[in-house]
Amino acid sequence: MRAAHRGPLAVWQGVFVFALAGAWVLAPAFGRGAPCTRARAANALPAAVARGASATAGRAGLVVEFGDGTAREYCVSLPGSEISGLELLRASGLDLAYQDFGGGQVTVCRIAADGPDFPSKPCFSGCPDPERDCRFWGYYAIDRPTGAWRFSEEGAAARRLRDGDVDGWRWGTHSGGGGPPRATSLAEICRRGDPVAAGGPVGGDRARPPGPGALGVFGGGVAALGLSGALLGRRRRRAEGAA
Amino acid sequence: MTTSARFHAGAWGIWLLSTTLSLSMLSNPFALGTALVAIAAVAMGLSSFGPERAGLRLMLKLGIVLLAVRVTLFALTGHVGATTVAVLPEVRLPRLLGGMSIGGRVTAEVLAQSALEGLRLVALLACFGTFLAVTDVHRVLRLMPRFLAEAGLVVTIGLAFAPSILRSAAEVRDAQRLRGHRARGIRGAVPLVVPVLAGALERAVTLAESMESRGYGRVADGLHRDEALARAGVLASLISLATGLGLVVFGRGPLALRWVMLGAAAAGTGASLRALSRLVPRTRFRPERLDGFDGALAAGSVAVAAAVAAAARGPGGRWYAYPSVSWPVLDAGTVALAACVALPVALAAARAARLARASRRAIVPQGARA
Repeated sequence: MRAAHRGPLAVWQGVFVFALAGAWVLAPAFGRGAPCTRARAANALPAAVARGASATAGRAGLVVEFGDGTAREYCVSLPGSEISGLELLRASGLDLAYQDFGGGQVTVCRIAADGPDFPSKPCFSGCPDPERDCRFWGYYAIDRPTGAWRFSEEGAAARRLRDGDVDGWRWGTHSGGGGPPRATSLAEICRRGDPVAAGGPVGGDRARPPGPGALGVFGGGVAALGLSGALLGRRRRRAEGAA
Repeated sequence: MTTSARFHAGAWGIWLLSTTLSLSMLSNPFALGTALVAIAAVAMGLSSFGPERAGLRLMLKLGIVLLAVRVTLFALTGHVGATTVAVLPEVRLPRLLGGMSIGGRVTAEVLAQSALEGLRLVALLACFGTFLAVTDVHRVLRLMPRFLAEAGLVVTIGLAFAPSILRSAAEVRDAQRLRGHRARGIRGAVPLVVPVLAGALERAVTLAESMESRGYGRVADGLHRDEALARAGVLASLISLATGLGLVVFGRGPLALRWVMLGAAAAGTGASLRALSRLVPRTRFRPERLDGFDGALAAGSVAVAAAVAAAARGPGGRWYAYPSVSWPVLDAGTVALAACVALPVALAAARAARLARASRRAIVPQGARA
């Protein structure tokens, strides 16, 4: 009797619900990778990379093309044998906003004035429809053997640059009309641009901590809140004990 | 009007929903911390003093463990942010294992941000634990719509089994201890696990037999075609609902069409679910009634969530550690809003005062008559 009304419909309902649940679970994993900065596995490089204040081990180039067509070039002297793409961008001193996904995965949302200011706006609010007018910071790198620009297959925080590597960032559309930054080589960048040392001062004004008075009021209020709950619980327990 | 000492389970459900929404919108440590304390106040003031509290404690422990794991993993694998706290030896994983680098630069930004996310996780778990501690699961399940009656029954039985299995596990452990058994390694666990499993299986068979003998799982005659039709309607309207949601979320098609499609699909889903409910010949036994305090709890919770949604965009509700960590803003208004999560405490105090007044009024005339 019971099996009779559990027909193929019930099976399909189950499949549907499972598919929905699966899509819901997996969606963040797929949605995380932005087209330009999907953090892919880094090359297996030798471990224990020396960082910090060693002598200049080499130079890397950086090109940033803004939405108004202007471009800035930086010749960065590396602090160690290698540097991540994000640290290279930070070394330029340009004001940045980026979203961190943990595990060294980062999406750059804004450089200087171009792009949404991440915590207050979604990182891809300049990109409502990926197939139409979609503007974001595209991350490019110069391929070592060919010397041509290619779309970086690694995220900025995962990519490691060594002596002679060049990174490029361009704000705009990246499919169809929009291509990589205008072609340059490291030698050209270092001839034209000013040399910059990585690990320089970081811009951004730091907010000051709240004063002791405000903190005191806050702490007192929170303590009173917790205490009110504890008091109510005690009264209820006593009433229950009496009943 | 009768005023019972407890809030309606539906009102608690709305509190849970709006509080979790508020928690996921707030990203300011001061506001989140206040909300966590407010949830703790609700838990301390209103939870029953039975075994449900153990569940709350378990949730809190789980939250703290998750916080620690999250901070540790993120600190070891995320190297972004401006402020370096420490430089550890670095190990690069092979490409097949994700190619992440473990160790290396540990930044204050990663520590602060992952601690904040962990704090939110603790608050969310505390919220659910509080909900389980202040309501009776069986009261919540009785609020299920009728077409889910069978699923609700299954969940009820499963939930009723969990404590009984825990109890039998404790009994078996005590018995084996009296026989001089000491749990050592995997082998030592066998005499503890096997009797518990055997007992659970036996109890399940007994329950199934007794339910069958009482006529559970029978379908009234003549309902098969109607039920199949109603189920097909539910399936079709759910698919169109998913399509409509997809159109709205991914922004395809003309704007009017998206919303019309979504609205029609939602209406169709509601109608077909109601049709399915009507086919289930069950009535609710002694349905709970809502009173003014329950209504105030539900409406107040929704209002607090709406106000938090508006305030969360301001600096007092928002904070982000990257690119360089900074102090969060301490905004009195947002913090006060977050404290409003403890609304049930205030309402319960008011309700207790009213109950006390009512009982005094009921006693005094008797004394005057004597």
